Amino acid sequence: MTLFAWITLLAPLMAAIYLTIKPDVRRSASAPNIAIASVAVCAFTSLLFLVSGTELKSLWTWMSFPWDGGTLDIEIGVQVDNLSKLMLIVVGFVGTPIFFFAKGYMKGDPSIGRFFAKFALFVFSMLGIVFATNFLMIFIFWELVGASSYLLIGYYYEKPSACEAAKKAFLTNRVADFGFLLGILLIWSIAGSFDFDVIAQAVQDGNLAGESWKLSLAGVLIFVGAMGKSAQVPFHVWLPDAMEGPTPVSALMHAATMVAAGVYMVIRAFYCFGAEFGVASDFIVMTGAVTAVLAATIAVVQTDIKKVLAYSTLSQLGYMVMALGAGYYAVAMFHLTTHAFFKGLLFLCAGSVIHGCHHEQDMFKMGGLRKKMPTTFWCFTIGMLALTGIPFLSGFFSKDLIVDALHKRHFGGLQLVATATAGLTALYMARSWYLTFFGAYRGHAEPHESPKIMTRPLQFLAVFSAALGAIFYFGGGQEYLSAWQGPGTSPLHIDPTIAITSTVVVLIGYLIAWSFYGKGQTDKGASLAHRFSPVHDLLVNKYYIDDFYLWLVGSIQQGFARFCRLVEENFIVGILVGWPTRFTLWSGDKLRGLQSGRLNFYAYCFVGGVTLLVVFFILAGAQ
Amino acid sequence: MTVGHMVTLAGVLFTLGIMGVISRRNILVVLLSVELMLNAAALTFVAFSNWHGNLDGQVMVFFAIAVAAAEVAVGLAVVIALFRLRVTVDADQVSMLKQ
Repeated sequence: MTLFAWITLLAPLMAAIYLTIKPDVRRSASAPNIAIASVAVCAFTSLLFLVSGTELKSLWTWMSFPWDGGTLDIEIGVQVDNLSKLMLIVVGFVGTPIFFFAKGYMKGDPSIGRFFAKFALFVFSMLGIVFATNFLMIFIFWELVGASSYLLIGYYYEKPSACEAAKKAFLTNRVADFGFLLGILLIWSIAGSFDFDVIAQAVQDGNLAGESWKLSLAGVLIFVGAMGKSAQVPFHVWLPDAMEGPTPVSALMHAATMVAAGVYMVIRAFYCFGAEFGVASDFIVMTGAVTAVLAATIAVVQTDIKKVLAYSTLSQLGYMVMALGAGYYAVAMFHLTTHAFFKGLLFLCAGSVIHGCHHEQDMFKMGGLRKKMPTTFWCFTIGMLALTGIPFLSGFFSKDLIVDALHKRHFGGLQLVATATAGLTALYMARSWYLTFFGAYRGHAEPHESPKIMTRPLQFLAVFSAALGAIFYFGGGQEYLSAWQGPGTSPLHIDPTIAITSTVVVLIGYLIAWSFYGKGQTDKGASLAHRFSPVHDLLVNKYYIDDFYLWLVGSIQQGFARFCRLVEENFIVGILVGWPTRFTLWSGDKLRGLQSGRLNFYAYCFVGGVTLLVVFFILAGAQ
Repeated sequence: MTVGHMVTLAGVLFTLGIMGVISRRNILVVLLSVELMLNAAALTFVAFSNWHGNLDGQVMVFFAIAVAAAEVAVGLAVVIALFRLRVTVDADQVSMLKQ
């Protein structure tokens, strides 16, 4: 089983390397198949681990330094426990259909091999995070995920907007990762180890009892790292722009797995801290709530079908983070799992629509696609119903448990926020559903249904999106993850009051969307936007957060940079370097006259010098 | 003839050599003057060797003569090369060293 775990981790890397160093394979039609096979390994082993109930931990010392009397070992390992098994299933069973879909979606792309090499590299990095046994390993793969995300967002590198988005994603994540790194170093300084189990044991034994504030600070710093990857306010700005990448990338990385890595990592880390981590939970819950509402409101005014889903992802990540803050890690993981399937499905449907409409992404240029693309329509519908939490589809279970968790922790206001956000979710999802699939077709190019290789993955994911919530909830998913329940929590059960309330709110959301866009008409929404134009402007401009950052970088940072340049040019170059230079030039100019080239003069100087030396030594000797 | 006489003679020869090196324009004469200085130094070696009753100084003289012979060979070769290039042995006519 240990061997299987290592193979699972390394297979995508091998595929990525193979596709990179073999140009003839990279250009051939079999390039996608190699990548698909490497991901299918993950799906297979995750199922194997789940059925056999494997628990294992295998370590390999990568580097070893002498340190403080002992050695500092940098370990790369694989750890299979209930948490990583669940995450493996997400990566494998969402990843494999998306890879199949990508094969159809990217067909005819001249550099399809490069795409699949990068995509496989991403899966390797993601599996590294899933399998990680210690903070250092998770950080290494965390950065690898960031790098492969950069490569894939900037896949269409000839498009300036894609390059900008890639840079934005990378830089935003770097800022957050700095917090993560500080947190890891702080943990190491108090616990003396990077290993999750060692730290958890030390906390359990009370060895770190005197360091509780440091532990809390480390927890917050590590959460800051998660805020970057999981795109929480104020680091959320990169995720909507990341939609510049190919749609399968958006589906796998920026909806299903990579952005969820932050939540997964926080569960791993906070499990170590045990009960010590109580102080910062308000901060985490608030971050999640702000993100959930902010993103949901922005999603209502988006016109790009992928942007709607991107903001929806932000909003749902906000839900997961709220559950984290409430201490219900298993519930967060539950929502992560269901979300991965239905959001992956929705993105693939969006990809299918974009593909069918000849790379048109504006929903106002779609419409009436229900007849033209029936499979995509039905799959999108299932995904939407699951996301909005229609009873007994998967989103219903996971989202209601989060609301219940907030209720149990007496975050009364936030419970309302979460419920209202569910209504907003229904509103923006139904809006994009009506705009895309109902009414008359508003575009130019003739839309067509996607080929089987793209619709089969949709159907596969649709089944899971519908059923997974019930399977997880009734199949004892929370008990399965009971080791990762926060302190003082227990598995939750659907509360009828909460379930009915949120279902009613969701239906109201659908009703509002239907009244504005129900027949596929767009004029009602436009007139409302016109009437409340200040609000509309605020939402369209994403609360001016991007503009604020632009101002921050453009004015404050550039101003400081200009000041630094002034100091550099005038003081360092002008004085510290300039004055010695000028003195050397001046003295050389003056001394140049002595070099006459006349032999006698040189001899004269030589004799004079020797005479002076002789006189000096005679006088010195005389004293 | 005391050691004082001999050292005085050596000093006079050395000064003559220096004056020759500094003041004469003809490179051949300059080389001759250098030889004069070398021999003045050799003379002091002999004088002190005699005075101390120690032969070490006289060994040094042979050594100095051998080195001087080599030096003259190189110096004359340079002068010949210079003459071929410039058709002069006047040091004032030759100031290429400053370039």
